[in-house]
Amino acid sequence: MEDEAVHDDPPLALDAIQGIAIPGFFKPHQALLSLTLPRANRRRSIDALAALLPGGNGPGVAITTGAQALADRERHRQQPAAPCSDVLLALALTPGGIDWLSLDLATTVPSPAFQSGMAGRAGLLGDPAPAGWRADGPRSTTDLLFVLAGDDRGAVAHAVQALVTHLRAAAPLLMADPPQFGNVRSGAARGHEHFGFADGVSQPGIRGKWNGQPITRRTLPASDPEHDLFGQPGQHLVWPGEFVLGYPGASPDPRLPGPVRPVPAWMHDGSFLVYRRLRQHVHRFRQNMATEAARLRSQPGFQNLTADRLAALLVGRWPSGAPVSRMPYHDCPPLGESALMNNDFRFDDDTPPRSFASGALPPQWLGTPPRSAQADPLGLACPVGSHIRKVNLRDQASDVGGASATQSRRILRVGVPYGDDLPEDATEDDGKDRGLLFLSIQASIEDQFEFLQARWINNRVRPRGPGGNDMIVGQNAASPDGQRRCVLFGTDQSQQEVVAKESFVTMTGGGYFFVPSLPTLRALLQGALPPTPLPGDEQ
Amino acid sequence: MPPPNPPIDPSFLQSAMPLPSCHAPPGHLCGLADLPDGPGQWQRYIGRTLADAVDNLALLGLTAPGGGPLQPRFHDGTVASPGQPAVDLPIVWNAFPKKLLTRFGRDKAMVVADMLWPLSAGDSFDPLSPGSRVAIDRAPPWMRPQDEYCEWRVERDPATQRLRRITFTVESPEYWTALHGGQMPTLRIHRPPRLDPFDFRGSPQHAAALYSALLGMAVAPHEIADQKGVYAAHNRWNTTHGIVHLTHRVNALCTHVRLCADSTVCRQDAAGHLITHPEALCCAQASGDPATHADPTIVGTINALVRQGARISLPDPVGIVIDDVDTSGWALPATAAAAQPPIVPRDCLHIVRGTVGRILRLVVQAPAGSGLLLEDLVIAGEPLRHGGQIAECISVKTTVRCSLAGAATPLAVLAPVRQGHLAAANPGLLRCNGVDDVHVPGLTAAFVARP
Repeated sequence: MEDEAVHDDPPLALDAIQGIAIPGFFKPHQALLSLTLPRANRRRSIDALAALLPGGNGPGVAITTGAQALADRERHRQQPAAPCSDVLLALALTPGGIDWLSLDLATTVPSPAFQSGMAGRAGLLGDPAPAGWRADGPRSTTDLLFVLAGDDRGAVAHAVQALVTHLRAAAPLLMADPPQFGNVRSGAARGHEHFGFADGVSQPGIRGKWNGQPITRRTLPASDPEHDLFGQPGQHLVWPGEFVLGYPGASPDPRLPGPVRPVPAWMHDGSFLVYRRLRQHVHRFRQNMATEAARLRSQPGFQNLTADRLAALLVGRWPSGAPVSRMPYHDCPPLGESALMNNDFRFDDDTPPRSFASGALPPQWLGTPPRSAQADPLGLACPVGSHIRKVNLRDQASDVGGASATQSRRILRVGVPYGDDLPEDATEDDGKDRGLLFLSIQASIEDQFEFLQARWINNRVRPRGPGGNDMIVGQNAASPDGQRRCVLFGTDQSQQEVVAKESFVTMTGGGYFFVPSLPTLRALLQGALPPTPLPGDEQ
Repeated sequence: MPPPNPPIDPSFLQSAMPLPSCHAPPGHLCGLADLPDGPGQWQRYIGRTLADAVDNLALLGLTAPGGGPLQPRFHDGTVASPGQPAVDLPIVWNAFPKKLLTRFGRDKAMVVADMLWPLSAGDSFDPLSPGSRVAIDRAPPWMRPQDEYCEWRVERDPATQRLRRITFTVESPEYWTALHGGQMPTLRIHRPPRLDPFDFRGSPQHAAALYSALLGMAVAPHEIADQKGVYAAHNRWNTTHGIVHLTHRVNALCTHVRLCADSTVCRQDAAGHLITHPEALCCAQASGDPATHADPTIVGTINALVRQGARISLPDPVGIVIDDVDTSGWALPATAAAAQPPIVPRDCLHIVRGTVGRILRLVVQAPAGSGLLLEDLVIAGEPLRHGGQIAECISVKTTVRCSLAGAATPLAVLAPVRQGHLAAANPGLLRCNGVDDVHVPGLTAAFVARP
């Protein structure tokens, strides 16, 4: 006998939440603009910022609400071949930026990580010394970060220029760093990061409604026992308090809402944004895969290991996005491209058969029962230390408890690659800077991004054994001996370690930001959130 | 009479991997070797505990899908191999009590985790609430509220109250009872015939001498026993004045063995669906706390292997160890790096018992002669103030030996014996009641599919 409350997904204030937080910007072109706000002429700068609020008379670009971003996504879904010239905009603040708007308000943010900034956490994250960062180093004076995103590369660049001109017209503006531009790779590499793997395949779904409709579309029929657990099959629906403050987060039961994080009311409908400029050493990655595959081929059980398959094992997916759990020995691009199947796998048990509505599956799958993913609790097919298992254990327990503990570590990723491609098959360094502008949305920097990077990705024994380091984005500096290792099983179930003496990814800059809700931002700009005049304020 | 264990499948006994001949003491500690038949007694105690755990499974009445008694999937590793090929699978979890985090939030959890709690403290006890005064005044006996099979004690300088030393242990009360001498109850669930408790002969003098050596204080035998000479696990040298072994009610070797054995039984919900969610499984069986870091991980990992046809044993030596301390984000003042030789944060870690990867007792303190204070250590930007900050960086480990998944065999399943609930007051905290317990208002049943 229990209280039989029905826990429907909560309505989310998408007119108050910035669109970068929910549903997120998933655009092929992005620009990041970090600025230091002037200490003089504050009023004019405040007016210039206020003009960027929705409905303001800004420079042709305004901060995008969640509702607008969701509508844009729906439009894109219905007309994928019709790019939109609109540019989405988000504004995020550092503690300095919050205090610029309202003195000492930043001290009420209950996040030591946010207070000290990413540079202050470099040791925890295994990052290089911040003195060498290209963006937002230890002496960063960044107050705010604009994120601009769009379908058209030129439109994004134009919007950046218009935004800078608009703000500079108000007051002398210090650009903390040159704008960072990120663009999806072109041609066959579109949607793939520089190591060659499809990116963003397994974004979490969001439990929440707008105008009475689920924000994350549900694709499983009601007859499926798991229809209320997933958006796309395998896309776990996570309670919104894990991404935006003021809402229930995850509980031990994925169907039931958990606690609301205790934060000041002015932070409600806001999120934390993590920005990391990750340089990818593509040549180093390719070299290591080739040499390690060759070394391991001399070991029993690994005779047929190729560099491509080794890379896929360490990612947990093939370049197309096809999961190794479903395709252990070779890629399957149609599977990788099928959102109904490319994420539908788990590790402790076989994936149950699904029945989809007629026409839901791509033509190449018609009449062919989709290959199921088999249970792999030990990591015989997909290594426990593979990137996708390191950051999302799906149905498995971890060092921090049962499977629900994973849901409270999920992040929404909204980043894009930067830099030119390294030619295919090139294994020597061409000296060019390329990588990923990593952006993630979460409700807690410490419990989500930092936990994933420091406690799981960089760690050799967590979240599960027999594991190893995340060989893709792990940092060698975090290992006691400066090397990363990952356990692989051979066909005879013998175990071998793959080793990397150098990191494949180097942090070159970044920061921690708060993405305020639009009502909070409006109140801050109006001085309505405990305003304390600062020296230099215009009367 | 309880039903006998079903006969063991002969193929199950064919093993390419040699079976361990005995159960060594935890971490291969040598303290028992100084006692007449000490190692032998330990071997027999562990053997009996494992046998009890297997017997308990037999008492559940599991029958094979085709009829007849079902061979338990859990067994004594010195008696039979799990089958070939076998893998030793480490299961790790975080040492900081998850339940305290969920109940109090991190800041308060750090404070209360360092305190001694009355042994009688219940699930709703809050040592900082005014209402707790009565219970505290009534104490001792004390225990540490650290229920992840790893406990610590913080020592401060009496004059300055600054941190001087933090000592961690995963040593079981059973081992120390074996050293001292005394009785350990049987693990078997209480059905006739009652079994006699296991009687360790031990030596109070020997145990007291080991206490003295570990604590650096003179400990007399009568100080670690009650007035009848029975070993007192919650004596002052293991609570208010020192730390030697685990004190929390659930932190015991037999608890761990029972949890591992129980986890080999599959459960199904009222709709007939196999329960696979780790926390739901932990709720469904008789042992384990789903609100901890450790138990859902142990339960979920073992049961997932069993669902794939694996058999499970505990490799020698049976027990729990500290696997690793993650020092990422640890920092010392610049003077430490400038010293000759340079002092690094790992120099603050001192393994007192056990070895790297299998630590039983760990002391965290500033290196002798360094001029540093333990409070100079900074972790993730926070100066060290609580033992829990170290515990957050500690991975505790047990190891299970399993046959690799082959063709999954049909499973016998049982109905749940407990039901998990979330309370409206704290929907992050999972609690269990018996399935037949009366309804408590304000609770929502967890892991129940809803239309």
